[in-house]
Amino acid sequence: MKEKKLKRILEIIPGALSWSILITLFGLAIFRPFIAAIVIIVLLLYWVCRLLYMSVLLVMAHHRVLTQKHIAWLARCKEAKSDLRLDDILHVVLYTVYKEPKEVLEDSLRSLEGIDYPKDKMIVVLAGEERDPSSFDKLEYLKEKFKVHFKDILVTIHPKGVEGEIPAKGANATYSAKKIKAYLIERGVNLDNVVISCFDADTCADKNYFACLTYNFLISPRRYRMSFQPLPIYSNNIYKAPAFARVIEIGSTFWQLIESMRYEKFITFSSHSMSFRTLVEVDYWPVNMISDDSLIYWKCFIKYKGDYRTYPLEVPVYMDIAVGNSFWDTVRVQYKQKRRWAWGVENFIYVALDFVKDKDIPLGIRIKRLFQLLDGHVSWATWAIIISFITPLILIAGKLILKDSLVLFNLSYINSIIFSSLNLILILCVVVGSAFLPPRPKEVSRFIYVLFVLQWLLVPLTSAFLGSTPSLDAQTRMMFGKYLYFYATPKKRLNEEEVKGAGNG
Amino acid sequence: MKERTYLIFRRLFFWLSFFTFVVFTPVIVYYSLGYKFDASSHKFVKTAALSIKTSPKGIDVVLSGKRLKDTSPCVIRGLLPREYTVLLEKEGFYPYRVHVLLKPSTVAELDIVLIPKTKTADKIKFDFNIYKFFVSRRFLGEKIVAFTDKGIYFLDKDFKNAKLISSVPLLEDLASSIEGFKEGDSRLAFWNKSDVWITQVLEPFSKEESKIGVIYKATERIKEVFFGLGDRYLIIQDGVKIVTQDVRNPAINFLLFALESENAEVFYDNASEILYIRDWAAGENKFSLFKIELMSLINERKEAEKNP
Repeated sequence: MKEKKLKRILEIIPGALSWSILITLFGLAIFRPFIAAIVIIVLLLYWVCRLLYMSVLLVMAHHRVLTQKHIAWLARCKEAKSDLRLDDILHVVLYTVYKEPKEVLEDSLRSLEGIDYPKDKMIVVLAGEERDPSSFDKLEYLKEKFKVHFKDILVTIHPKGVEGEIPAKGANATYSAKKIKAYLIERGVNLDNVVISCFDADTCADKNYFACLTYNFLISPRRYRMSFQPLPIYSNNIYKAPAFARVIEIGSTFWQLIESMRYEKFITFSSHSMSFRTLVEVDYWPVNMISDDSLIYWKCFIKYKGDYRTYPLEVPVYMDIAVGNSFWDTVRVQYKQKRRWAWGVENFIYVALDFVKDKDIPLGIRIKRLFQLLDGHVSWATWAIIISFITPLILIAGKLILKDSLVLFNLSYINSIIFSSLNLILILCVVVGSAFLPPRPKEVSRFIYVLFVLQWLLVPLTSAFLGSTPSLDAQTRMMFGKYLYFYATPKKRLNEEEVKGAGNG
Repeated sequence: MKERTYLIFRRLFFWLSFFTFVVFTPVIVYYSLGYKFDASSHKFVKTAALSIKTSPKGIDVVLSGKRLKDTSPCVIRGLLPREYTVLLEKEGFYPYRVHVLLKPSTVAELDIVLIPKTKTADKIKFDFNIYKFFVSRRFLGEKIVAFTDKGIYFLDKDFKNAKLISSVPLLEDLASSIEGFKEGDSRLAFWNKSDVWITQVLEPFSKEESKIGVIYKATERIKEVFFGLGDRYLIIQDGVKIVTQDVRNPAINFLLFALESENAEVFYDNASEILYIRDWAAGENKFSLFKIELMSLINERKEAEKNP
């Protein structure tokens, strides 16, 4: 079978599966409510068991992060038993920039300036885009302002319209990384000892991030076979973002926490770090795909025949909650951002295409990893819709069609018990979520803490409309070959008036 | 805690969740379908459920002689399919006994209103000798129209307020013979077999005295009266005639329609100004339904006059 044809079939599979599940359940709800009720009872029980399991993982991950919060990572680096010394390690921190305001980048660089790590071992790269000429002056200004704090600051400008590339973050990061390689080789730096961190422009590193990263890099004998993934905490503007956006982004942090405990399937997401040598060996980030952050993991996994993993770092990075200029603009921005994340379903196609040809990776592992990818995306696109819309539809249809059916009567009973028990999980979310809150700014009222608790009641709505729907949208577009362009989530700092209005939304 | 310890815990909880799903799902699905293990026969039997809702709530439930701990509303699951006697009882209410036949895998629903035992009734606080009363349904609730020895009154349904409509005292014989009343926007019409009276309903603070007068005298027997044409006319069924009577001038009335049968029935919908008639259809030897659209007729005539 020709690769193009196979690729097209693979593109159809996730969307077709998701739609088949939803349409089948919808059809059963209307025409066979009795069977639909039994199917939904099984699905709800499966979902509850899965959710309980994930809650345990969340608690474990929360425990892992909290217990390692106060470790003196730099001291550990100095004492680390390794073939490398702390002084050997050079960090390259690459910020991809596209239309982000100067203030956002300034905050990120200021956080880097304040880290507990020798800055003379750090090179900062500001990777701009030729598509955004307004940023040239901004990048030069930032270079001048912050260059005294670091070993060096480089500015690279990714040219537009390069053949074989799409206008996306991966293409910019790859262009920049190639320039960095030339820069390092020119200065005789051993690439084996360079760690590159590819950060979004709004990424503020925790003060222990680079010490923790260095320690793990030093002590790991398999340092060239692993990526290092920090926990992304979306808290830079948490006191200024609308409640529904907070819930969604805290949910993203929770998801990363949960995934971080599933070591064997944990993959890179958003801002991450890895050995520069490995990056060069796998030919950098993909330049013609949108989800470069996760695809870099799969490139490594395939290159090293499955001998690659992502290590969950104990120290977080702090990022922005995506917000717009108004409530509805924030809904639009969130929807587009989540749809871009959901476009990560392209990983399934990329990996499946390679797994068909590559027989070096054991078949069991290939099937397992592909199933995990597919399951993750299909579940993302369907679960919230099943719970928020199809289950109530079955209950309504059952009331109208099979008034005296015991199974429908019991479905409503089981449904109410399950949703009551979910309150416990919501309490867990409130507790875990509060651990990641930054200090409250003076201009924000204490009342916001009440909203921080009540905001979790929005979960059924946000998960259906800004969880499953964008994912289903992405899969449907892929199914019909309507490929997505890279949506650069706008990053902004709200002014004081906007701050007053936030938190209520 | 080391990575390995987390891994052990994770695996433990994974298999715990897995076995919970594998073990409990068939049990819950079977339970949902109504299956229950019958210890006496050592078999799974199909059961049914009974849902009891009552008004008021909190009624004691006795199911085939066994008093339940739960009071209504309640759901009793796992019942073997057969006939049950349900007794609902609470002090102050008449006990309600009903037989319910439960079929396998079904839920029977009882929705019962219990009747309270009454020994006393509330009495209005006004000193009237009430000869006749009617209840008038309005958009914002009900009013009671009382024909008394002191005149005609509107009473609130809580018996707290009485609004005088006309202080003209009614003779007991006359008031007792009233068969019906209709309320227009500002008038009240009431009738007995032979006469139709009309009175003005005055504003609450009006010092004027509302008068009562006979507006129509029957030639045969008054059966039904309606307000019509913007409350300017009364539509009166008088024996086998339907008459329109000007409410302001007793001298003006017109024969609207002559009915075939004495048993004819009429209804006038003053929202659409349509008169519906159930009358004998001559030639067909059966009763049929007729209608007269008064406003359409008036408009047609006006048009005919303009364009002869």
